Amino acid sequence: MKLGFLTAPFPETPLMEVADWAAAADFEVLEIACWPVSGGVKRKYAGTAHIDVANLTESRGSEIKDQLAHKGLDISGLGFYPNPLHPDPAVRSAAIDHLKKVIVATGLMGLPVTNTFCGGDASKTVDQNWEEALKVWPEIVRFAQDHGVRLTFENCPMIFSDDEWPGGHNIAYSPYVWRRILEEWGDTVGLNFDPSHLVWLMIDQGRFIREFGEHILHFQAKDVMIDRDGLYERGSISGGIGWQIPRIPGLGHAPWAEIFSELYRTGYDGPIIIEHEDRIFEGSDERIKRGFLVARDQLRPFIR
Amino acid sequence: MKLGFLTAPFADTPLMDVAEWASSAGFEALEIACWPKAGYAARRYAGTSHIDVANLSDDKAREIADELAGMGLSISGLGYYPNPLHPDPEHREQVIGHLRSVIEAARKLDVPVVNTFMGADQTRNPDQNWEEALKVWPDIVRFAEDNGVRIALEHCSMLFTYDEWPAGHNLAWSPRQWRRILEQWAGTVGMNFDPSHLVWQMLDAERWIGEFGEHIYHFQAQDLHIDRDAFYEAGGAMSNGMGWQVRRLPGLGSVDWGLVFRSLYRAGYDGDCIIEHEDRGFEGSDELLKRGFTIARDVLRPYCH
Repeated sequence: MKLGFLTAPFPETPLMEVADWAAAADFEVLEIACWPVSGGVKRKYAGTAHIDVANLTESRGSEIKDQLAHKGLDISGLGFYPNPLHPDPAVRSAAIDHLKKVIVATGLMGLPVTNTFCGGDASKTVDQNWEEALKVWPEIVRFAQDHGVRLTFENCPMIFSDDEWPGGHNIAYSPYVWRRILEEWGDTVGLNFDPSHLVWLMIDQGRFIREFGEHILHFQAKDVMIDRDGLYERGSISGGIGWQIPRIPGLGHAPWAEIFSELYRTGYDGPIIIEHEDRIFEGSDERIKRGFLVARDQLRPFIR
Repeated sequence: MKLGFLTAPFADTPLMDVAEWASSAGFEALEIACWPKAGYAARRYAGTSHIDVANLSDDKAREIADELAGMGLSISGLGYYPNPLHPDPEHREQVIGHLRSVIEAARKLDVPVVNTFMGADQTRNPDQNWEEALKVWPDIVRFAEDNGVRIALEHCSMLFTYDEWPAGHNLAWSPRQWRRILEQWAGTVGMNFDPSHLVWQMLDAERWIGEFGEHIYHFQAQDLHIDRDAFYEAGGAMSNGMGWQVRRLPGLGSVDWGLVFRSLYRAGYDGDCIIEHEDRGFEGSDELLKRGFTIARDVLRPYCH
């Protein structure tokens, strides 16, 4: 296993400067944020463009890879997390168009995975969304196969406020949907497993990893704390709104020893990519770096 | 604290037959199911009409109360649990009309509370539903005040399947909502407390009773267990209890009854304890229903004195 982080929280800092700091801080791998340079749908923690995938040549791709390798850094994958099942056809097609560019870039650079979301229409039930996924995804999956790239879906429900209520913007969070995904596209699509989502969903970590471990192609280390006052206010029916608080690994309720115990047991030997969405450690690169250092030192003992 | 049960599961048995069994089984109180005689929109566990409230004379009311008293039974409240915020205006008008008849019947029977739901439009979020409640409920509350009757809203979210998804059919489930309700109508509107709902909502029962104890007008004893396999399957908390909240008789679920009674006595609650029976393991015949009630009785009896 190698320890690294997703570069998304440094939207204004060029990739190579982020990489210099990462190497100096003893990180070994980066997941590179690849949102469109020109912008698009913006939300918090989305939008960083550390590689301009739309204009990436093969030689530019190799150059980036070599420069990072020279600093001792691998690339775990390229990350772009939009909503490919968005109900607005224009938003949806823009997301899918760019996703394909990320897939092409992943192939050009010889990287193993493109990390993304399955998507979801918040107003529809899970089963209705799945019907839609069956229409939208086969073509993208084929495109990825043609480029020799595997796809991962993060298991995040993408619900944070009434804006995503009730169904969230990504249906790939429950075991029963994951079984369907793997049945359809298991050769090409796997999990970008982030244990923090299981914390507020209250799903058993060990059971989830034991069932899906062999399909985990990428691992994001994030933590969540349950705000007990917020949960008391609204109850479990509220989709986590107001009580699931993203934290730096070690500052939430994720049982890291159990998670790594099960990951090693299941044979996972890929990257451990810290995802930083902790509002306590935001506002400047300085604070973001402090957050990453806390996470690094929490996780480092498990990663060899 | 008197121990009794809600009569709803005995849909085809006359009230006095139910009462005779209750009395012989050592129960002391009944919540009487008062759905409309005519019957419409019957759902599971709804529809029983043990008193025809629409045609209840003062004399008939006195007769019922006296007959029950003769068997050693008091009436804890009248129960009618519809959806007064249903999006269909006709349906809504119908249920509110009947709710008013139940309120009048409570006055005639000298019963202190009518137990019901606040209701909800399942397609709207809690804040939107609350806006609607502020339009619909003041009239009903005034009507109850005029009749000298209090209203107890059960804090069940009424969400069981995608038919009620995502918001359920009853808005009054969260502390956040309850504070708004009490701010508007405390004194006339209180809580029909049922600890089983707190189990799957993952709400702290001790904290809940500590905060709302003085507003508990009626207490329904139901239990619930979380089917951990179904919970895992459906994606945990995102799936809003669907497929994994399993209603059980008191003693057969995860409610911590010691904690519930400790907190209720501490909060000064001195009303009845009314068993609500929706346990599919004890259904299908009056015989099975009675076995279920007997289990619940023996689990709760040690606490009810």
